[in-house]
Amino acid sequence: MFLSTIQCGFPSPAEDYLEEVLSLDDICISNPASTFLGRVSGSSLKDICIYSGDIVVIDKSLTAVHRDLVVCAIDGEFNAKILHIDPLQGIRLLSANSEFAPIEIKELTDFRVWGVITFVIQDIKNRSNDWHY
Amino acid sequence: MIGIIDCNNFYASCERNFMPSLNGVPVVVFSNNDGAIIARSEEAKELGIDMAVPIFEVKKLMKVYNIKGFSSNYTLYGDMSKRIKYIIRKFFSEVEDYSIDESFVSCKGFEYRDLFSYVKDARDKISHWSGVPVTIGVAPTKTLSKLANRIAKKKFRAIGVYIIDSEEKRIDALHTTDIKDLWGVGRRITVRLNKFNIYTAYDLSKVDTDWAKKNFSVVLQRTVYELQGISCIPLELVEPAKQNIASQKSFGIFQTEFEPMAEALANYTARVAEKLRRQGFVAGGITVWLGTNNFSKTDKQYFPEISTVCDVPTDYTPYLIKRAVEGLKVIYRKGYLYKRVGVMLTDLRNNYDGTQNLFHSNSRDKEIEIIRRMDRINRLNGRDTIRSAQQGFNHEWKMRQETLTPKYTTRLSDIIIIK
Repeated sequence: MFLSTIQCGFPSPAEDYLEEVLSLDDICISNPASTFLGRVSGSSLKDICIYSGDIVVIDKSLTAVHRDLVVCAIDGEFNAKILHIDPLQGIRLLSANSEFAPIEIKELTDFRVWGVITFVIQDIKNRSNDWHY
Repeated sequence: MIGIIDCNNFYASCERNFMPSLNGVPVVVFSNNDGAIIARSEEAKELGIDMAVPIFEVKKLMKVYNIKGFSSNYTLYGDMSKRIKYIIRKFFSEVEDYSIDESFVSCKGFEYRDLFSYVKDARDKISHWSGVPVTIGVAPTKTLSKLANRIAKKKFRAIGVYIIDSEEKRIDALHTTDIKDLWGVGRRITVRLNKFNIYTAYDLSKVDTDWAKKNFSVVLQRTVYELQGISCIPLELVEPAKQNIASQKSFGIFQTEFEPMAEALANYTARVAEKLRRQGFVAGGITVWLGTNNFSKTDKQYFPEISTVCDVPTDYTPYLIKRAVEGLKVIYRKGYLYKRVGVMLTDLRNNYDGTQNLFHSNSRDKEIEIIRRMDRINRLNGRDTIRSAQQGFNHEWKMRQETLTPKYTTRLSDIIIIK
Protein backbone atom coordinates (compact mmCIF):
# COMPACT_ATOMS: atom_id res chain seq x y z
CA MET A 1 0.00 0.00 0.00
CA PHE A 2 2.94 2.33 0.51
CA LEU A 3 4.01 1.89 -3.06
CA SER A 4 1.14 3.98 -4.42
CA THR A 5 0.96 7.64 -3.56
CA ILE A 6 -2.37 8.91 -2.34
CA GLN A 7 -4.24 10.83 -5.00
CA CYS A 8 -6.19 13.88 -3.95
CA GLY A 9 -7.56 14.85 -7.35
CA PHE A 10 -9.20 12.64 -9.96
CA PRO A 11 -8.41 8.92 -9.94
CA SER A 12 -6.38 7.83 -12.93
CA PRO A 13 -8.70 7.03 -15.84
CA ALA A 14 -6.36 4.15 -16.77
CA GLU A 15 -6.65 2.39 -13.42
CA ASP A 16 -9.45 0.06 -14.48
CA TYR A 17 -7.73 -0.86 -17.73
CA LEU A 18 -4.40 -2.12 -16.39
CA GLU A 19 -3.37 -5.53 -17.65
CA GLU A 20 -0.54 -7.89 -16.81
CA VAL A 21 2.70 -6.92 -18.56
CA LEU A 22 3.76 -9.27 -21.38
CA SER A 23 6.19 -11.86 -20.17
CA LEU A 24 8.75 -13.87 -22.14
CA ASP A 25 8.13 -16.75 -19.75
CA ASP A 26 4.52 -16.92 -20.94
CA ILE A 27 5.68 -17.03 -24.53
CA CYS A 28 8.57 -19.47 -24.28
CA ILE A 29 7.59 -21.71 -21.37
CA SER A 30 4.37 -23.68 -21.30
CA ASN A 31 5.37 -26.17 -18.61
CA PRO A 32 7.82 -24.49 -16.20
CA ALA A 33 8.41 -27.61 -14.09
CA SER A 34 9.75 -29.57 -17.07
CA THR A 35 11.57 -26.71 -18.81
CA PHE A 36 15.34 -26.37 -18.70
CA LEU A 37 17.83 -24.05 -20.37
CA GLY A 38 20.94 -25.13 -22.23
CA ARG A 39 23.76 -23.34 -24.01
CA VAL A 40 24.82 -24.27 -27.52
CA SER A 41 28.49 -24.90 -28.12
CA GLY A 42 29.79 -25.49 -31.62
CA SER A 43 28.43 -25.17 -35.14
CA SER A 44 26.31 -28.27 -35.67
CA LEU A 45 23.13 -26.20 -36.03
CA LYS A 46 24.47 -23.29 -38.06
CA ASP A 47 22.31 -24.00 -41.14
CA ILE A 48 19.20 -23.27 -39.10
CA CYS A 49 20.78 -20.12 -37.69
CA ILE A 50 21.54 -21.44 -34.20
CA TYR A 51 25.06 -20.54 -33.20
CA SER A 52 27.58 -21.20 -30.49
CA GLY A 53 26.61 -19.28 -27.36
CA ASP A 54 22.87 -19.26 -28.04
CA ILE A 55 20.54 -20.34 -25.27
CA VAL A 56 17.91 -22.96 -26.02
CA VAL A 57 14.69 -23.63 -24.12
CA ILE A 58 14.14 -27.36 -23.62
CA ASP A 59 10.83 -28.92 -22.62
CA LYS A 60 11.15 -32.45 -21.27
CA SER A 61 7.39 -33.01 -21.16
CA LEU A 62 7.02 -33.05 -24.95
CA THR A 63 7.19 -36.28 -26.89
CA ALA A 64 9.67 -35.88 -29.71
CA VAL A 65 8.26 -36.34 -33.20
CA HIS A 66 9.67 -36.32 -36.73
CA ARG A 67 11.61 -33.10 -37.51
CA ASP A 68 11.78 -31.95 -33.90
CA LEU A 69 14.99 -30.37 -32.75
CA VAL A 70 15.94 -32.44 -29.72
CA VAL A 71 18.57 -32.50 -27.03
CA CYS A 72 19.85 -36.04 -26.78
CA ALA A 73 22.40 -37.72 -24.63
CA ILE A 74 24.89 -39.49 -26.91
CA ASP A 75 27.82 -41.36 -25.38
CA GLY A 76 27.79 -39.24 -22.26
CA GLU A 77 27.32 -35.84 -23.92
CA PHE A 78 24.39 -33.58 -24.66
CA ASN A 79 23.92 -33.03 -28.40
CA ALA A 80 21.33 -31.03 -30.32
CA LYS A 81 20.06 -32.94 -33.34
CA ILE A 82 17.12 -33.01 -35.71
CA LEU A 83 15.10 -36.16 -35.17
CA HIS A 84 14.36 -37.75 -38.52
CA ILE A 85 11.91 -40.62 -38.56
CA ASP A 86 11.58 -42.25 -41.97
CA PRO A 87 9.86 -45.56 -42.73
CA LEU A 88 12.66 -46.52 -45.12
CA GLN A 89 15.75 -45.12 -43.47
CA GLY A 90 14.64 -45.62 -39.87
CA ILE A 91 15.36 -43.13 -37.14
CA ARG A 92 18.30 -40.84 -37.81
CA LEU A 93 19.82 -37.85 -36.08
CA LEU A 94 20.70 -35.00 -38.40
CA SER A 95 22.88 -32.00 -37.79
CA ALA A 96 22.06 -28.68 -39.39
CA ASN A 97 25.52 -28.46 -40.85
CA SER A 98 26.42 -30.11 -44.15
CA GLU A 99 29.84 -31.04 -42.82
CA PHE A 100 28.32 -33.39 -40.23
CA ALA A 101 27.03 -36.78 -41.41
CA PRO A 102 23.68 -38.12 -40.20
CA ILE A 103 23.82 -40.64 -37.38
CA GLU A 104 21.75 -43.78 -37.45
CA ILE A 105 20.39 -44.66 -34.05
CA LYS A 106 21.40 -48.29 -34.34
CA GLU A 107 25.04 -47.22 -34.55
CA LEU A 108 24.78 -45.71 -31.10
CA THR A 109 25.43 -47.66 -27.96
CA ASP A 110 24.27 -45.01 -25.51
CA PHE A 111 21.46 -42.81 -26.75
CA ARG A 112 18.46 -41.12 -25.18
CA VAL A 113 16.25 -38.17 -26.11
CA TRP A 114 16.48 -35.80 -23.14
CA GLY A 115 14.07 -33.09 -24.24
CA VAL A 116 12.61 -31.13 -27.14
CA ILE A 117 13.96 -27.69 -28.02
CA THR A 118 11.11 -25.18 -28.24
CA PHE A 119 12.75 -21.75 -28.42
CA VAL A 120 16.14 -20.18 -29.06
CA ILE A 121 17.42 -17.04 -27.38
CA GLN A 122 20.02 -15.12 -29.34
CA ASP A 123 21.93 -12.06 -28.23
CA ILE A 124 21.50 -10.12 -31.46
CA LYS A 125 22.88 -6.81 -30.17
CA ASN A 126 26.22 -8.26 -29.28
CA ARG A 127 26.46 -10.18 -32.49
CA SER A 128 25.86 -7.26 -34.86
CA ASN A 129 29.59 -7.23 -35.69
CA ASP A 130 29.16 -10.63 -37.30
CA TRP A 131 27.11 -9.54 -40.24
CA HIS A 132 28.98 -7.99 -43.12
CA TYR A 133 26.62 -5.45 -44.58
CA MET B 1 -6.39 -45.57 -1.47
CA ILE B 2 -3.22 -43.66 -0.63
CA GLY B 3 -0.08 -43.51 -2.73
CA ILE B 4 3.47 -42.56 -1.88
CA ILE B 5 5.64 -41.16 -4.63
CA ASP B 6 9.32 -41.57 -3.85
CA CYS B 7 12.25 -40.37 -5.96
CA ASN B 8 14.79 -43.13 -6.60
CA ASN B 9 18.17 -42.26 -5.05
CA PHE B 10 17.11 -38.63 -5.27
CA TYR B 11 20.39 -36.69 -4.94
CA ALA B 12 22.32 -39.10 -7.15
CA SER B 13 19.52 -39.02 -9.73
CA CYS B 14 19.54 -35.21 -9.77
CA GLU B 15 23.25 -35.20 -10.56
CA ARG B 16 22.80 -37.85 -13.22
CA ASN B 17 20.01 -35.97 -14.96
CA PHE B 18 22.43 -33.23 -16.01
CA MET B 19 25.47 -35.43 -16.67
CA PRO B 20 24.69 -38.13 -19.21
CA SER B 21 28.20 -39.49 -18.77
CA LEU B 22 27.08 -40.78 -15.36
CA ASN B 23 24.59 -43.15 -16.94
CA GLY B 24 25.24 -46.63 -15.57
CA VAL B 25 28.19 -45.33 -13.53
CA PRO B 26 28.20 -45.70 -9.72
CA VAL B 27 27.54 -42.30 -8.12
CA VAL B 28 27.65 -41.13 -4.51
CA VAL B 29 26.88 -37.74 -2.94
CA PHE B 30 28.74 -36.37 0.09
CA SER B 31 27.26 -34.57 3.08
CA ASN B 32 27.98 -30.95 3.98
CA ASN B 33 31.71 -30.49 4.38
CA ASP B 34 32.28 -33.61 2.27
CA GLY B 35 32.27 -35.68 5.45
CA ALA B 36 30.15 -38.75 4.77
CA ILE B 37 28.06 -40.44 2.10
CA ILE B 38 24.42 -39.35 2.06
CA ALA B 39 23.20 -40.75 -1.26
CA ARG B 40 24.11 -43.60 -3.54
CA SER B 41 23.09 -44.69 -6.98
CA GLU B 42 21.94 -48.28 -7.47
CA GLU B 43 25.37 -49.25 -8.85
CA ALA B 44 27.12 -47.79 -5.81
CA LYS B 45 24.79 -49.71 -3.49
CA GLU B 46 25.61 -52.92 -5.32
CA LEU B 47 29.31 -52.27 -4.79
CA GLY B 48 28.64 -52.35 -1.06
CA ILE B 49 28.91 -48.62 -0.32
CA ASP B 50 26.87 -48.01 2.82
CA MET B 51 24.93 -44.95 3.85
CA ALA B 52 26.59 -42.43 6.21
CA VAL B 53 30.08 -43.94 5.91
CA PRO B 54 32.87 -41.41 6.36
CA ILE B 55 34.48 -40.57 3.03
CA PHE B 56 38.01 -41.49 4.09
CA GLU B 57 36.85 -45.06 4.72
CA VAL B 58 35.68 -45.57 1.15
CA LYS B 59 38.22 -43.41 -0.73
CA LYS B 60 40.12 -46.48 -1.83
CA LEU B 61 37.05 -48.43 -2.86
CA MET B 62 35.85 -45.44 -4.87
CA LYS B 63 39.11 -45.35 -6.75
CA VAL B 64 39.15 -49.08 -7.46
CA TYR B 65 35.62 -49.12 -8.86
CA ASN B 66 35.76 -45.65 -10.40
CA ILE B 67 32.84 -44.41 -8.29
CA LYS B 68 32.05 -40.76 -8.97
CA GLY B 69 31.53 -38.64 -5.85
CA PHE B 70 29.97 -35.17 -5.60
CA SER B 71 29.53 -32.55 -2.89
CA SER B 72 25.87 -32.02 -2.03
CA ASN B 73 24.35 -29.42 -4.34
CA TYR B 74 21.29 -28.44 -2.31
CA THR B 75 20.43 -25.56 -4.62
CA LEU B 76 19.93 -28.08 -7.40
CA TYR B 77 18.14 -30.68 -5.26
CA GLY B 78 15.80 -28.06 -3.84
CA ASP B 79 14.81 -26.82 -7.27
CA MET B 80 14.36 -30.34 -8.65
CA SER B 81 12.19 -31.21 -5.65
CA LYS B 82 10.01 -28.18 -6.33
CA ARG B 83 9.63 -29.15 -9.96
CA ILE B 84 8.71 -32.74 -9.13
CA LYS B 85 6.10 -31.63 -6.60
CA TYR B 86 4.62 -29.28 -9.14
CA ILE B 87 4.34 -32.09 -11.70
CA ILE B 88 2.82 -34.44 -9.10
CA ARG B 89 0.01 -31.94 -8.59
CA LYS B 90 -0.90 -32.21 -12.25
CA PHE B 91 -1.86 -35.84 -11.68
CA PHE B 92 -3.06 -35.87 -8.08
CA SER B 93 -5.25 -33.19 -6.57
CA GLU B 94 -4.61 -34.05 -2.91
CA VAL B 95 -0.91 -34.09 -2.05
CA GLU B 96 1.06 -34.05 1.18
CA ASP B 97 4.69 -33.05 0.67
CA TYR B 98 6.29 -35.39 3.13
CA SER B 99 9.99 -34.75 2.53
CA ILE B 100 12.33 -33.38 -0.12
CA ASP B 101 11.89 -36.54 -2.20
CA GLU B 102 8.60 -38.09 -1.03
CA SER B 103 4.95 -37.10 -1.36
CA PHE B 104 1.81 -38.85 -0.19
CA VAL B 105 -1.12 -38.55 -2.60
CA SER B 106 -4.77 -39.44 -2.41
CA CYS B 107 -6.08 -41.95 -4.97
CA LYS B 108 -9.64 -41.50 -3.78
CA GLY B 109 -12.12 -42.03 -6.57
CA PHE B 110 -9.58 -43.69 -8.85
CA GLU B 111 -11.26 -47.05 -8.23
CA TYR B 112 -13.78 -46.02 -10.84
CA ARG B 113 -11.11 -46.09 -13.49
CA ASP B 114 -8.12 -48.32 -14.08
CA LEU B 115 -6.07 -47.38 -11.05
CA PHE B 116 -2.93 -49.14 -12.21
CA SER B 117 -2.86 -47.52 -15.68
CA TYR B 118 -3.47 -44.10 -14.19
CA VAL B 119 -0.72 -44.39 -11.59
CA LYS B 120 1.68 -46.00 -14.05
CA ASP B 121 1.13 -43.19 -16.56
CA ALA B 122 1.64 -40.58 -13.81
CA ARG B 123 4.80 -42.34 -12.67
CA ASP B 124 6.25 -42.40 -16.19
CA LYS B 125 5.46 -38.74 -16.79
CA ILE B 126 6.76 -37.49 -13.45
CA SER B 127 10.00 -39.41 -14.12
CA HIS B 128 10.39 -38.30 -17.70
CA TRP B 129 9.36 -34.66 -17.33
CA SER B 130 11.68 -34.03 -14.41
CA GLY B 131 14.47 -36.43 -15.37
CA VAL B 132 14.41 -38.02 -11.92
CA PRO B 133 12.93 -41.55 -11.81
CA VAL B 134 10.21 -42.09 -9.20
CA THR B 135 8.47 -45.13 -7.73
CA ILE B 136 4.85 -45.17 -6.57
CA GLY B 137 3.35 -47.52 -3.99
CA VAL B 138 -0.40 -47.54 -3.48
CA ALA B 139 -2.40 -49.17 -0.66
CA PRO B 140 -5.37 -48.54 1.64
CA THR B 141 -3.20 -46.84 4.31
CA LYS B 142 -0.06 -44.71 4.49
CA THR B 143 1.91 -47.42 6.28
CA LEU B 144 0.94 -50.05 3.72
CA SER B 145 1.68 -47.69 0.82
CA LYS B 146 5.24 -47.44 2.15
CA LEU B 147 5.43 -51.24 1.98
CA ALA B 148 4.02 -51.19 -1.55
CA ASN B 149 6.73 -48.71 -2.51
CA ARG B 150 9.46 -50.97 -1.14
CA ILE B 151 8.08 -53.90 -3.09
CA ALA B 152 7.93 -51.81 -6.28
CA LYS B 153 11.59 -50.83 -5.80
CA LYS B 154 12.74 -54.37 -5.08
CA LYS B 155 10.68 -56.46 -7.47
CA PHE B 156 9.15 -54.19 -10.11
CA ARG B 157 11.84 -51.61 -10.64
CA ALA B 158 11.29 -51.18 -14.36
CA ILE B 159 7.55 -50.68 -13.91
CA GLY B 160 7.97 -48.49 -10.85
CA VAL B 161 4.46 -49.07 -9.49
CA TYR B 162 3.02 -51.58 -7.02
CA ILE B 163 -0.50 -51.58 -5.65
CA ILE B 164 -1.70 -53.53 -2.62
CA ASP B 165 -5.31 -53.99 -3.63
CA SER B 166 -6.16 -57.45 -2.39
CA GLU B 167 -6.00 -59.38 0.85
CA GLU B 168 -3.39 -61.78 -0.61
CA LYS B 169 -1.12 -58.91 -1.60
CA ARG B 170 -1.46 -57.31 1.82
CA ILE B 171 -0.59 -60.54 3.65
CA ASP B 172 2.30 -61.19 1.27
CA ALA B 173 3.68 -57.66 1.82
CA LEU B 174 3.43 -58.06 5.60
CA HIS B 175 5.22 -61.42 5.54
CA THR B 176 8.16 -60.12 3.52
CA THR B 177 8.81 -57.00 5.62
CA ASP B 178 10.88 -56.88 8.80
CA ILE B 179 9.53 -54.54 11.46
CA LYS B 180 12.78 -52.57 11.37
CA ASP B 181 11.83 -51.51 7.85
CA LEU B 182 8.39 -50.27 8.87
CA TRP B 183 7.44 -46.63 8.59
CA GLY B 184 7.20 -45.11 12.07
CA VAL B 185 8.95 -47.95 13.94
CA GLY B 186 12.34 -46.96 15.29
CA ARG B 187 15.32 -49.09 16.19
CA ARG B 188 14.62 -49.09 19.92
CA ILE B 189 11.05 -50.22 19.46
CA THR B 190 12.25 -52.92 17.06
CA VAL B 191 14.50 -54.37 19.76
CA ARG B 192 11.66 -54.34 22.30
CA LEU B 193 9.20 -55.90 19.87
CA ASN B 194 11.68 -58.66 19.06
CA LYS B 195 11.59 -59.64 22.73
CA PHE B 196 7.89 -60.41 22.25
CA ASN B 197 8.75 -62.59 19.23
CA ILE B 198 7.48 -59.97 16.81
CA TYR B 199 9.81 -59.92 13.82
CA THR B 200 7.80 -59.20 10.70
CA ALA B 201 5.11 -56.71 9.79
CA TYR B 202 2.77 -59.70 9.73
CA ASP B 203 3.54 -60.53 13.38
CA LEU B 204 2.88 -56.93 14.33
CA SER B 205 -0.39 -56.77 12.41
CA LYS B 206 -1.65 -59.68 14.53
CA VAL B 207 -1.11 -58.13 17.96
CA ASP B 208 -3.96 -56.73 19.99
CA THR B 209 -4.23 -52.99 19.36
CA ASP B 210 -4.94 -52.23 23.03
CA TRP B 211 -1.86 -54.22 24.00
CA ALA B 212 0.22 -52.13 21.58
CA LYS B 213 -1.09 -48.92 23.10
CA LYS B 214 -0.62 -50.09 26.68
CA ASN B 215 2.88 -51.51 26.30
CA PHE B 216 4.21 -49.12 23.68
CA SER B 217 2.35 -46.02 22.47
CA VAL B 218 -0.58 -44.65 20.54
CA VAL B 219 1.81 -44.33 17.62
CA LEU B 220 2.45 -48.08 17.53
CA GLN B 221 -1.25 -48.79 17.97
CA ARG B 222 -1.93 -46.70 14.90
CA THR B 223 0.74 -48.59 12.98
CA VAL B 224 -0.98 -51.88 13.87
CA TYR B 225 -4.33 -50.57 12.64
CA GLU B 226 -2.73 -49.29 9.46
CA LEU B 227 -1.08 -52.66 8.80
CA GLN B 228 -4.51 -54.26 9.17
CA GLY B 229 -5.74 -51.95 6.43
CA ILE B 230 -7.59 -49.47 8.64
CA SER B 231 -6.44 -45.98 7.70
CA CYS B 232 -5.83 -43.72 10.70
CA ILE B 233 -3.03 -41.42 9.59
CA PRO B 234 -4.74 -38.96 7.25
CA LEU B 235 -3.04 -36.90 4.56
CA GLU B 236 -1.88 -33.53 5.83
CA LEU B 237 -2.95 -31.37 2.96
CA VAL B 238 -2.39 -27.98 4.53
CA GLU B 239 1.14 -27.15 5.44
CA PRO B 240 1.33 -25.69 8.94
CA ALA B 241 1.95 -21.93 8.76
CA LYS B 242 5.62 -21.00 8.76
CA GLN B 243 6.77 -19.48 12.02
CA ASN B 244 10.49 -19.31 11.48
CA ILE B 245 13.09 -19.56 8.76
CA ALA B 246 16.46 -20.82 9.93
CA SER B 247 19.90 -21.55 8.55
CA GLN B 248 22.70 -23.27 10.39
CA LYS B 249 25.94 -24.21 8.75
CA SER B 250 29.21 -25.74 9.81
CA PHE B 251 32.58 -24.23 9.07
CA GLY B 252 35.05 -26.10 6.89
CA ILE B 253 37.77 -25.32 9.42
CA PHE B 254 37.38 -24.32 13.04
CA GLN B 255 37.01 -20.59 13.63
CA THR B 256 38.36 -18.65 16.56
CA GLU B 257 38.16 -15.01 15.45
CA PHE B 258 35.13 -12.75 15.36
CA GLU B 259 35.52 -11.33 11.85
CA PRO B 260 35.27 -14.47 9.73
CA MET B 261 32.36 -15.67 11.83
CA ALA B 262 30.55 -12.37 11.37
CA GLU B 263 31.20 -12.73 7.66
CA ALA B 264 29.74 -16.23 7.61
CA LEU B 265 26.75 -15.12 9.66
CA ALA B 266 26.13 -12.21 7.29
CA ASN B 267 26.04 -14.64 4.40
CA TYR B 268 23.62 -17.03 6.09
CA THR B 269 21.45 -14.06 7.02
CA ALA B 270 21.44 -12.89 3.41
CA ARG B 271 20.27 -16.38 2.42
CA VAL B 272 17.40 -16.57 4.91
CA ALA B 273 16.38 -13.00 4.04
CA GLU B 274 16.11 -14.00 0.37
CA LYS B 275 13.95 -16.93 1.38
CA LEU B 276 11.83 -14.64 3.52
CA ARG B 277 11.17 -12.33 0.59
CA ARG B 278 10.42 -15.19 -1.77
CA GLN B 279 7.71 -16.33 0.61
CA GLY B 280 6.33 -12.83 1.01
CA PHE B 281 7.08 -12.47 4.71
CA VAL B 282 8.70 -9.91 6.97
CA ALA B 283 10.48 -10.91 10.20
CA GLY B 284 9.79 -9.37 13.58
CA GLY B 285 12.77 -10.90 15.32
CA ILE B 286 16.09 -12.59 14.84
CA THR B 287 17.92 -15.29 16.79
CA VAL B 288 21.63 -16.03 16.49
CA TRP B 289 23.57 -18.92 17.97
CA LEU B 290 27.08 -20.29 18.05
CA GLY B 291 28.46 -23.71 18.74
CA THR B 292 31.70 -25.53 19.35
CA ASN B 293 32.29 -29.12 18.29
CA ASN B 294 30.12 -31.18 20.62
CA PHE B 295 31.76 -34.42 19.50
CA SER B 296 35.13 -33.35 20.84
CA LYS B 297 36.01 -34.79 24.23
CA THR B 298 38.98 -32.47 24.79
CA ASP B 299 37.88 -29.01 23.57
CA LYS B 300 36.07 -26.50 25.75
CA GLN B 301 32.37 -26.34 24.91
CA TYR B 302 30.19 -23.26 24.42
CA PHE B 303 26.68 -23.01 22.91
CA PRO B 304 25.34 -19.47 23.40
CA GLU B 305 22.19 -18.09 21.82
CA ILE B 306 20.63 -14.62 21.63
CA SER B 307 17.31 -13.29 20.37
CA THR B 308 16.53 -9.70 19.45
CA VAL B 309 13.50 -7.88 18.13
CA CYS B 310 13.53 -5.76 14.99
CA ASP B 311 12.45 -2.11 15.33
CA VAL B 312 9.91 -2.80 12.61
CA PRO B 313 9.18 -6.18 10.99
CA THR B 314 11.30 -6.18 7.87
CA ASP B 315 12.75 -8.14 4.99
CA TYR B 316 15.57 -5.67 4.33
CA THR B 317 18.82 -7.63 4.18
CA PRO B 318 21.24 -4.90 5.34
CA TYR B 319 19.15 -4.29 8.46
CA LEU B 320 18.84 -7.99 9.26
CA ILE B 321 22.58 -8.48 8.81
CA LYS B 322 23.29 -5.53 11.07
CA ARG B 323 21.03 -6.96 13.78
CA ALA B 324 22.49 -10.46 13.45
CA VAL B 325 26.07 -9.24 13.74
CA GLU B 326 25.16 -7.10 16.76
CA GLY B 327 23.79 -10.24 18.37
CA LEU B 328 26.90 -12.19 17.52
CA LYS B 329 29.03 -9.49 19.13
CA VAL B 330 27.17 -10.01 22.39
CA ILE B 331 27.56 -13.80 22.55
CA TYR B 332 31.03 -14.18 21.00
CA ARG B 333 33.84 -15.08 23.41
CA LYS B 334 37.48 -15.51 22.55
CA GLY B 335 39.18 -18.80 23.28
CA TYR B 336 36.82 -21.36 21.78
CA LEU B 337 37.08 -23.45 18.65
CA TYR B 338 33.84 -22.65 16.89
CA LYS B 339 32.34 -25.21 14.57
CA ARG B 340 29.06 -23.60 13.55
CA VAL B 341 26.98 -20.47 13.51
CA GLY B 342 23.25 -20.26 12.95
CA VAL B 343 20.61 -17.64 12.35
CA MET B 344 16.82 -17.78 12.52
CA LEU B 345 14.26 -15.18 11.51
CA THR B 346 11.34 -15.33 13.89
CA ASP B 347 7.88 -13.85 14.32
CA LEU B 348 7.16 -14.00 10.59
CA ARG B 349 4.23 -12.06 9.26
CA ASN B 350 2.73 -11.56 5.89
CA ASN B 351 4.41 -8.69 4.11
CA TYR B 352 1.12 -7.35 2.86
CA ASP B 353 -1.11 -7.23 5.87
CA GLY B 354 -1.06 -4.84 8.78
CA THR B 355 0.40 -1.38 8.96
CA GLN B 356 3.62 -2.31 10.67
CA ASN B 357 5.64 0.10 8.57
CA LEU B 358 3.42 3.13 9.07
CA PHE B 359 6.08 5.28 10.69
CA HIS B 360 8.79 4.23 8.32
CA SER B 361 6.90 4.53 5.09
CA ASN B 362 9.36 6.80 3.30
CA SER B 363 12.51 4.85 3.99
CA ARG B 364 10.55 1.62 3.45
CA ASP B 365 9.74 2.61 -0.14
CA LYS B 366 13.40 3.14 -0.78
CA GLU B 367 14.30 -0.17 0.88
CA ILE B 368 11.78 -2.06 -1.22
CA GLU B 369 13.20 -0.52 -4.38
CA ILE B 370 16.80 -1.29 -3.40
CA ILE B 371 16.10 -4.85 -2.41
CA ARG B 372 13.98 -5.50 -5.48
CA ARG B 373 16.79 -4.40 -7.76
CA MET B 374 19.37 -6.28 -5.76
CA ASP B 375 17.36 -9.52 -5.97
CA ARG B 376 16.94 -9.07 -9.69
CA ILE B 377 20.64 -8.46 -10.37
CA ASN B 378 21.60 -11.42 -8.21
CA ARG B 379 19.05 -13.63 -9.86
CA LEU B 380 20.38 -12.85 -13.31
CA ASN B 381 24.08 -12.72 -12.55
CA GLY B 382 24.48 -15.21 -9.76
CA ARG B 383 24.03 -15.02 -6.05
CA ASP B 384 25.90 -12.25 -4.20
CA THR B 385 26.86 -10.25 -7.28
CA ILE B 386 25.59 -7.40 -5.13
CA ARG B 387 26.14 -8.01 -1.46
CA SER B 388 26.57 -6.37 1.84
CA ALA B 389 30.23 -5.55 2.61
CA GLN B 390 29.83 -7.51 5.82
CA GLN B 391 29.45 -10.66 3.74
CA GLY B 392 33.10 -10.37 2.71
CA PHE B 393 34.95 -11.92 -0.22
CA ASN B 394 37.38 -14.51 1.07
CA HIS B 395 35.01 -16.98 2.60
CA GLU B 396 37.69 -18.99 4.33
CA TRP B 397 35.02 -20.25 6.70
CA LYS B 398 33.16 -21.85 3.88
CA MET B 399 32.02 -25.47 3.83
CA ARG B 400 34.35 -27.83 2.12
CA GLN B 401 32.76 -28.66 -1.21
CA GLU B 402 35.52 -29.91 -3.39
CA THR B 403 33.44 -31.58 -6.06
CA LEU B 404 30.40 -29.33 -6.28
CA THR B 405 28.47 -29.62 -9.54
CA PRO B 406 26.98 -26.61 -11.38
CA LYS B 407 23.65 -25.10 -10.37
CA TYR B 408 22.14 -26.18 -13.67
CA THR B 409 18.65 -24.84 -13.09
CA THR B 410 19.18 -21.63 -11.15
CA ARG B 411 22.23 -19.93 -12.65
CA LEU B 412 22.60 -18.82 -16.24
CA SER B 413 26.35 -19.41 -16.10
CA ASP B 414 25.75 -23.03 -15.03
CA ILE B 415 23.22 -24.34 -17.57
CA ILE B 416 23.97 -27.54 -19.48
CA ILE B 417 26.22 -27.34 -22.52
CA ILE B 418 24.89 -28.82 -25.74
CA LYS B 419 27.25 -29.77 -28.54
